[in-house]
Amino acid sequence: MQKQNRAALVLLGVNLLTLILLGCVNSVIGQHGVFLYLPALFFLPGHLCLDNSRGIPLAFVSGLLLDQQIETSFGFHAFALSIFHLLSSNWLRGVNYRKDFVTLLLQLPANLLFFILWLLWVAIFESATMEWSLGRWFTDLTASTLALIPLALWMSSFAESLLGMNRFLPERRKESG
Amino acid sequence: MWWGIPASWKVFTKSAFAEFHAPLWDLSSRTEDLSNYWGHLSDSKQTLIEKAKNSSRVQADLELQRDRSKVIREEIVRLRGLKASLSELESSLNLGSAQQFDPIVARVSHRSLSGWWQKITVRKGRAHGLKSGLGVISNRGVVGRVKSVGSRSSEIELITNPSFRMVAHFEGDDRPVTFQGRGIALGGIPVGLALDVPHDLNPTPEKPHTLTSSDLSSIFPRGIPLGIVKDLGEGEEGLFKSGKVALNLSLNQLTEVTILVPRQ
Repeated sequence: MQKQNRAALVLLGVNLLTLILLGCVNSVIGQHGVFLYLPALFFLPGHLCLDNSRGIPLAFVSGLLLDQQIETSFGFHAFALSIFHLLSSNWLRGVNYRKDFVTLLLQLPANLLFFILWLLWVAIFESATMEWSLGRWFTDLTASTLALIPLALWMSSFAESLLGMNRFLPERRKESG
Repeated sequence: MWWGIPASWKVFTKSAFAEFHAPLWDLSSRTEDLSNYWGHLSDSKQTLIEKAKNSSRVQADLELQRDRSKVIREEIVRLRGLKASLSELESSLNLGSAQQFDPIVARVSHRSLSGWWQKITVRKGRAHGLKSGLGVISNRGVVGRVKSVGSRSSEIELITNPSFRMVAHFEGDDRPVTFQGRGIALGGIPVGLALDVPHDLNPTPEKPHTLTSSDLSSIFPRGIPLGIVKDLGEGEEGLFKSGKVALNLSLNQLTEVTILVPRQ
């Protein structure tokens, strides 16, 4: 039990580190009219070794951090990431996710769905205060999808190595590694 | 369930997260400054020679400026006299003098320039006398206004946000118009919109008009440039004109801004 709690804290640290690094990158490339919007990065690490009772709060807190950083409606990503975590956990545990591309098969469409959901949210609920032009939407989507592939692979292996270093990985994950 | 949670709790949680993030942005910004400093320390001999040449040019210019200082001092005395007589006239006519501001210079620690919302974080906050709603400018013009203030950092909403509306004037024209942000377009080009423009104003690409801030806004002094308007079309209701405002490109690349604190 304690091991799971510590693993959740380590994964929160991984999410936070990724969020900060992504913020720094966006701070620079944002000057050229490109923004990396990658919420799909933040619900997968919870699947590595956490049950839903810890994975969902992890996704929720990560979502709140993301909401604060990229100025989206506070709670939008918190709920969206929690729901994504819940929906995908059964699917992911059923497949052989030792192969890295399997996680990508989940994260790429999830990120596209986030793009569509947030565009609709801005158009319906935030039209008075926010605007996301279609030109920018396509540019951001293309850049984010391209960036997601290496980042998702790096992030899951980074999280795994941190968990392995602290002996938090479940036995089946260690054997597969 | 989320909508049922009191807004005060959400605001508290959000500001707590902002306070948590702020030192991290501060650290990354200071690391960048330090790496620039170290980068200059390890400059090659050729670069050092170039810099020495530039330095001597600056030194020569400084000598010229010193010579001019006597003329400037006399000019200051003259201007002070004019200012005093202006104040006398204002008080005799019972006119309120224009709002005055104290400038606070702050370094930008982080930029979040997404397609839907643009903000920057600066290294100064409540501890430096800042509060939300204050106007922010740079050497290129109006930047935005302070949105939220933390203990040692503040978030500034840029003028490119659609939620940013302010009263403005065209240079040389006293009639007020409305300025509204329109986001950052492809290629990082910041765009705004001029609304409620009178019909007799006709800017052209050859003869563009400059849009400047108005003292009616109370958070900016009059005459700070906002952007340039090259063309105006019919507004939605046909009573006024409206058109795109080309904002300064450096708005995305600011490293330092000035926050205007109204003098009490």
